[in-house]
Parts: sequence; structure tokens; C-alpha cells
Amino acid sequence: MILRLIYPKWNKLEGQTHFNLPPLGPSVMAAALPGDVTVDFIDENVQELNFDEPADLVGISVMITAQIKRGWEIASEYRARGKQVIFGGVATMLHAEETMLHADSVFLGEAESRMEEVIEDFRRGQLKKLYNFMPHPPDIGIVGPARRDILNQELYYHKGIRMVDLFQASRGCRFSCYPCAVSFLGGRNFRPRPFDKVAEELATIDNNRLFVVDNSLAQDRDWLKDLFRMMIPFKKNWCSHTIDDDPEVLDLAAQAGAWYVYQAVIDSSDFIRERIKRYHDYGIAVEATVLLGLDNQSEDDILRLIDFLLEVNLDLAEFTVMTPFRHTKAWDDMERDGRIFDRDWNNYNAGRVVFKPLKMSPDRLQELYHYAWEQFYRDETQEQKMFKLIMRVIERERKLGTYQPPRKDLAGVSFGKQVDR
Amino acid sequence: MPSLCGIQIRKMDNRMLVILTELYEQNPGSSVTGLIGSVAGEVVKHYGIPPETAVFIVHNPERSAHHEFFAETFYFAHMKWDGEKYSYPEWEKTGEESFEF
Repeated sequence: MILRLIYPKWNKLEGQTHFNLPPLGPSVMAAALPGDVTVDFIDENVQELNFDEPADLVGISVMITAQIKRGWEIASEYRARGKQVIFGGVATMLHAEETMLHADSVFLGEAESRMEEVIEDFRRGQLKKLYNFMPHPPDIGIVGPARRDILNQELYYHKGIRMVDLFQASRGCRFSCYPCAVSFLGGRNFRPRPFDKVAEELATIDNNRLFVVDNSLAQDRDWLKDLFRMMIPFKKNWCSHTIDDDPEVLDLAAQAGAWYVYQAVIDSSDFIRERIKRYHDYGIAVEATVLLGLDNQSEDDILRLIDFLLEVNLDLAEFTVMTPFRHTKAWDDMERDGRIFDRDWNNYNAGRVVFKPLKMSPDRLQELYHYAWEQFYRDETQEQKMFKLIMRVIERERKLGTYQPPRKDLAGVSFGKQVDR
Repeated sequence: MPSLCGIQIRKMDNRMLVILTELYEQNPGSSVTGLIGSVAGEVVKHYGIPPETAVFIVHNPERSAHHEFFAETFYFAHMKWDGEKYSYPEWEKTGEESFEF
């Protein structure tokens, strides 16, 4: 049986250098499938989708809201050809009711120990309209290595340089932040994977560079220290979301290969300034993730914030506009106040203003978003800054003896397409 | 998805005030705001409240946080009752003083 598993394309952020990372969700789902299912994976961001290629069942895996409408289009095309289509992934959970109108089946929740039932139902011609396992996440101990073999790895190179592989040591998040939907997604409890499972998966990844995609590395200090101690012998280099701001944790993180962290910067406080400095003190670079358009931000606040970012010696910055994703407190608050004016999910890519900000017009916020990108990268482009980060990691890899030179045969290729060198 | 919220019902003149409180982290599912039509319908059926007398208020309690987004808020949810469920919510910001007695 062939499961054609599709990861729909979406419009990337304007102004940002476009990179495509190998997605984790489809690989995690594939690992939960019965062994006799052949997975034919297509990442539409880097591959053309041919609807005539063989498929017994079509799976559509959607991570972000901006993918969902394209997912529905793909489903429509396959269903017109008589194929059954099942949706899963984060954005399916956020848009479940709408997606049920476009699918033969919708899967909500985590895949481990659930896919046998789904595939068996399909084989008997009794695929259910809805599989809702959100209230009952699986035992985290049964989560095994993701099946990265379903990915065509050569498509995730930019001019010979391999992109990071995504990796997860825990699920869930005990925080419940204003713009974030993780708490709705069954993630309210921090669920660390057993270390033997983490080690087993790390050993399967032949990429020296990882993105540890855990929602936060600041949830359990003791666990974090043990995790980093366990990771040291693997000699990986990795980026991640925020790491617990504790000297011992940061020291262990650096030893375990912390390359750079995404640090949310929402104001120009000394707290943020000092935190960035501490990361740097431990040799960890910082990419600021800057959310513009929060209700407490005025135009002046945003302009001051951009100046601050230029001052504090950041390695990279990524700007997004506040976006009220479904099932977040941001959505609820703005919905009640009638402030959401755009419900086209294609525009929910965090680069388009879809709501009325409290202290400026939507157009002004959109202008400030573009201005922020331009100002931050006016003296050194994003690609130049990234190159510096790459040079840092190469230096570390050379010291560790793990350096893998860029692929010469892919020097003129970016994500599967020929480009100028 | 099972969801939880706080419910307080107060009789006020000839109306029944139904105050639905968001529980944030203690709620494993959707918010009251997201499910207001279904929740309101369940409440009137379960407590035998005449739908035409029910007034719904969504309460977001203050939460310990750095940001003002978690300030305490109250909203009236004005909805249409079709005999089975409520729908088409329209929201009106209010304060506790409007239903204190």
C-alpha cells in the first residue's frame, strides 16, 4: 500500500532569505505507520507535485496555518480523482472543523500507536471522518526515531550547504503564551522523552547540525542539565528556542553544541540586553525573534526597539507581525473586540497584518515591519550574517573533527533548483 | 476535545446572568470564547434556564504576567437562540460593576 504524504507549500515571509528545512512532522508520522505501508513523501516547497503518480491513500500534513488552504486545494484535486484524503498535523488541529469539509478523514493528535487503527480502517473501506486523539496523547516513552529516510535529503541543500535537521527531545509546554497555540494542541504538560530514546534518535541522524525544536528549553532545569550532559558525546551543533538562563545550564548547553538560540525580544529592557550578553559570554549566538504589533507597542516603541536591536550586537533577527492564530488568547481577544479584518489563512504567515493594532493603523504596522527588516540588515545582509554563523560552526566542527565540507556537486543548486553560484 | 470553564449563575431581576470564566492552563481544550455558542446552549439545557432570560458574560481573569494582555476583562456575548443552540455571537465589553448587586 502506498501512502502519498504531502507537505503543502506556502508563501514565505517577505524580506527574508528563503530557506527550506526538512520537515519533522511527516517523518514523525511515518515512523508510526505499520511497516507494510510505503511512504511516498512530497514536500511541495521543494518539489513539484504530480497528481498522476500512484497513491492508494493521500495524507496531507500541515504544520502552519498558511499551508491549510493549499492543503484543501490538493485534497480537492485528489478527491476528484477518486482518492481518499486524510489530514493531520498542527494546522489541522487548529482548523479541524473547516478541514473536515475538504477531507475524507481528519486526524487530530499525535500519531504514535494510532496509525495502525487508521490504516486498518482504510483497508476495510471504513475510514472514519474524524480521529480525535487530542485528549489522549500517547506515552512519550513510545516515541521512537523519526523516519527521515522518507525525505529526499538532497533537496535541503543551499549551494552545497546542508540545512539543519529538526529534532525533538520533549513535547508540550508548561507555559501558555499570548500568541501561541501550543497549550491548545494538547501541549500544556511538559513531556520529556526518555534519554535512551533521545540518544537512540540522535545516533540515527547523520547531520552534524540540528534544530532542537522543543517548544522551550526552559521548562525543567534538572532535566535540561541531564539532556545536555547526554548530548555532549554526540558532538552536534544546534540551534533552539530559548534556553534556561542559568550559568550551569548555559555552560552545559555550550558544551553540548548550542550554536545559536532564538530569543524573543519584545522590549528594549536591560533584562533582554543582559540575557543576550550572557548567551554571548558562553559562545552561543543569538537570533532575536521580534514580534511587532503587540497591544502595548506604539510606533515609537517599535522604532526604539529596532534601534535597540542594532545596538545589542545580535547575530540575526527575524521580524514577524503579531498574528492571531486560531485557539490562542490573541485570537479570542481580537475576535471579541472585532479587530480581525482578514480571515484568509494564506495571509496568516506572520508577515501580513490581519488585525487592527491598538496603537497604530494596520498599514503603519505593515510599513514598520518592512522597515524593521530593512534597517536591521542595512549594513550587512541576512545572508552575510548567516554566513558568519556558518563560519562559527565550521570552526567548532573542525576542532571536534566532525566537519563535513559542502557538497561540490550541489554548489550550483538551491533546494533542488539550479542557481548562480 | 473536552474543555473546562468556570460557571457562575446569578439571578438578577428577571434575568439569569451566566458568567463563564476562562481557566487558561487548567482548561485542556478550547476557550470559552471559541466555543461560546455550544457552551451557552449546554448551560441553559443543563440548568433549565429559559433561553430568553439568559445573559452570558465571558470573564477572563487577570493572570500573573508581564504584559497587559492578561488584564481582567468581562464581555457580554449577545447571541441568537434558534431553539437548539446559540449562534452569531456579538461581543460587548463590560465591567464587573454592570452585573454586581
